[in-house]
Amino acid sequence: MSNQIVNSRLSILYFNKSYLYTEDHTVIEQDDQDILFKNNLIIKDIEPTDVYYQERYNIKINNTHSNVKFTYKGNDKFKYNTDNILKPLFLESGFNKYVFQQNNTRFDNEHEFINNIKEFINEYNIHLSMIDEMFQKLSNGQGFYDTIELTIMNDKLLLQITYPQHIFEEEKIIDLNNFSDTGMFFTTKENKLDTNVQGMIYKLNENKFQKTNFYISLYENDLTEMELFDLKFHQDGIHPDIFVTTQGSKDLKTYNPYANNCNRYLLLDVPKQAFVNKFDNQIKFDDKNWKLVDISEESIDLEAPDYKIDSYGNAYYLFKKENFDLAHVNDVSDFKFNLHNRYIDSAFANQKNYSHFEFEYFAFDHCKDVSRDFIMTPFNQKSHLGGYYVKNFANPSLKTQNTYTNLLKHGKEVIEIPYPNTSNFYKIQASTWLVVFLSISYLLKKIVFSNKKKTIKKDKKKH
Amino acid sequence: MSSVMINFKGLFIISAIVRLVLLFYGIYQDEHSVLKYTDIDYYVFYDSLISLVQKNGSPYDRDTFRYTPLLTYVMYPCLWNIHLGKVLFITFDLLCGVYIHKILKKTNTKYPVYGTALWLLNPMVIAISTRGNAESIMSLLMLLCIYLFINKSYTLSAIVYGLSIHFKIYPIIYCIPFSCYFINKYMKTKQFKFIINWVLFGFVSLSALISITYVVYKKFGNEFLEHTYFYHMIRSDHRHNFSVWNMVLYMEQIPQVIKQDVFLVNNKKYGFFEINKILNNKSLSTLPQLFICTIVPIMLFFKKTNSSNSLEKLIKAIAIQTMLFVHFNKVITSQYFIWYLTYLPFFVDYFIEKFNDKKYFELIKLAIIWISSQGVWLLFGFMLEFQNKNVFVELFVAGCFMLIGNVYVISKLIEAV
Repeated sequence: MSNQIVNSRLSILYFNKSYLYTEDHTVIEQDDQDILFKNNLIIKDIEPTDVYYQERYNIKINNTHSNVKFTYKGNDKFKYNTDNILKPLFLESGFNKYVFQQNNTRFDNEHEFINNIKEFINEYNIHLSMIDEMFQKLSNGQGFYDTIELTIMNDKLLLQITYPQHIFEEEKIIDLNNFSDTGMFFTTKENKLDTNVQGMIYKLNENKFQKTNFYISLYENDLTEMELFDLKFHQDGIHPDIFVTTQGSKDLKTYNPYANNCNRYLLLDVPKQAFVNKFDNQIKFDDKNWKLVDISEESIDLEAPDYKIDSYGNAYYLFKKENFDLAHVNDVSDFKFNLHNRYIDSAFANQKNYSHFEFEYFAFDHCKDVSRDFIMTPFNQKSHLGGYYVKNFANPSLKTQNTYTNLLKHGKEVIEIPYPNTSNFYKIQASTWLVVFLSISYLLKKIVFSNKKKTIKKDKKKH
Repeated sequence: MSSVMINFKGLFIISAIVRLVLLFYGIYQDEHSVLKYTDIDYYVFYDSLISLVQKNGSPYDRDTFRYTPLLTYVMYPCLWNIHLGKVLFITFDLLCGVYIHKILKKTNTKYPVYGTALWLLNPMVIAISTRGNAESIMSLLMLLCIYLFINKSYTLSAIVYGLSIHFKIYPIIYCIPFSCYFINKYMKTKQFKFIINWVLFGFVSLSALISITYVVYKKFGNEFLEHTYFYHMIRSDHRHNFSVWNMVLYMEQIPQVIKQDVFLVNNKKYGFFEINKILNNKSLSTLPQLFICTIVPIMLFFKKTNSSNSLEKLIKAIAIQTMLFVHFNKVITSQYFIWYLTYLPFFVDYFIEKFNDKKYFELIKLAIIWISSQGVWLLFGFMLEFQNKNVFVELFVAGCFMLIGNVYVISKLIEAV
């Protein structure tokens, strides 16, 4: 029995309202509150920025209970406009659900990747619908695409192919009957802080449309430049210091008039070669400043070498700023703590006999705003955060949450620790035993011989 | 030098004042400096108390708590004030001074006050207790055990001895000098009572150890045994420490070393010995330690030495055995030095005789070797830990120097037995 498509979507992203509502367009007609689509969408003058083809299949996948996502980016390095905040949202949201990227496999080879998908499709007898022709072209090395993604989540398969705008050099006709729904969206930067996303989702078969309107808040650059918050990394010894400084001379409200009911967090994504010791004095006793409120791993063995830890790869440490005040005029604080390295690092050493690994940090304000139904978060693009952030801060199933996030600072740092010259091991082993053997021999000699002589000498002296 | 310039009462008062001053200084530094005066272990004990009492959990809910829960109960006053635990440790530390003085007098030492001063005014001892380290409990238990022993209260001494083994396993090695004492006495006097006392001491101490451990086990279960005892048996500290074994035990865990051992090439054979082969260092390293800690007290007891007093010999044998145990151990940290510094006062006559004989250089040499062997290691430890310098080879050499230097010091102390 073949697996047939259960849902498909065409998404078109714009950046300008005028693209959707051009005077001479032939596709979309607006008559008061009614919007009509014809069967065919003709893409010519309106130049959409991105086009996503998505197809969903319900299949039972063997050998995995994980939600996995395989992504391949095409050789064509199409540079997305950095303002294209919609793309990550769509890449992450799929069919009204976020992708919890627990495992991420990257393929370095395009041909291998496409062949893998092809074998996968054959193995599960999947009949591609609209994207079949595109995929055949891709497998013959003729296709053109920006990204291909294969996502498996809760036994559902989502295959997505993304086309960048500039491939539509000629008029392209897309039959909307092939899609369960079609989405068209455009963005408007409302103010310095907020971007409004508007558009519609159209279901051709049911002749229904649904308007969409939500906000995205992107303060990243602004707030970073304001120097409200600073995080410095410093490594003199093998335990790198992390300094968190909050400047108190600015009022957050001045820069973010919408900010309301916010908490400030610092999230560290640390590989297992290092760890934050929750028992550190600095963390325990400075908790009036920043408090370690959550660790993704329940039990982190502080004494185990990294290669003996197989229960996790990375751990997330979440600090919360205590008594955080949006109008923190007088709030100037410094917070310092160490990252502890595990001395045995399974990584290979470089030529200078140092091994290195990365840790990543994110500082953000997480705010509640009941006045908006649904505010997306730019944090969703940080897919490497895995399920931790999504689960704790952006869980769409928590409808009452109404929260959004302002990323204050984000960065990666490299930790370097000395690595012993392993070729010396046998010499060190032999030397150790030699020193121990000689020490014992000397002590025994001392007891057997020297002491007796001293005693006799002493006795003679007395006489 | 023979005239006593200060009496014990004065020494005790000065020592208590110094400790109190440091206690309050520690509180001040903890509140005003990022660098805390209080030892991290003190917070481990304190956290275990909070886990046990306030969170109704287990003391082992606190990571790295590897001690008996009795220590958690000792910390109980901290529920009223966090610093009261330190006050207790300081009290134990001062009581150690009292018992050292009593034992020195009992063993007819010529300079009991100077001997006691070696403990009470020892900067390392003062720092350890005022920073909240619990080693003074072990020192007090063993001194009490010895004091009762030399007063022939063998039953009480054995109970305290059993309790001290329950607290930390290492005093179990003292069964050898204790046994040697009874056997030696029997061989000299041919009185059977010494064999009876030996059996009694052994039986009571074992019963006390088993009873206390069983009671604690009933309440805290397997995790008590795992953390308090089994962990120390399998422990191989991969972080740097003073031990000569540290580097080899550290490196043999590195996957790259294991890999080159598995895919062995160019193996050099010298007769039967394969040089390029990882030995089972973790287990084998215990053998030299066990050997030297067994043979040395036996040799000291059954060989003619300067000390004619068996009790004096017993205490010195315990001291030397402890020092051997520490310096041949797989893991050595600064607090382990307290284990044998407890018995340093019993060598006071030896030191003062050297002084009176104007052999100042010998005394200075001993002090310099003991301090510099640590100093050299600490220098490279600092370079690795705080300057991120690749000084593993230097650190290994410093570890060897540490053992060789201390073996020299031990050999000198053997002369005093």
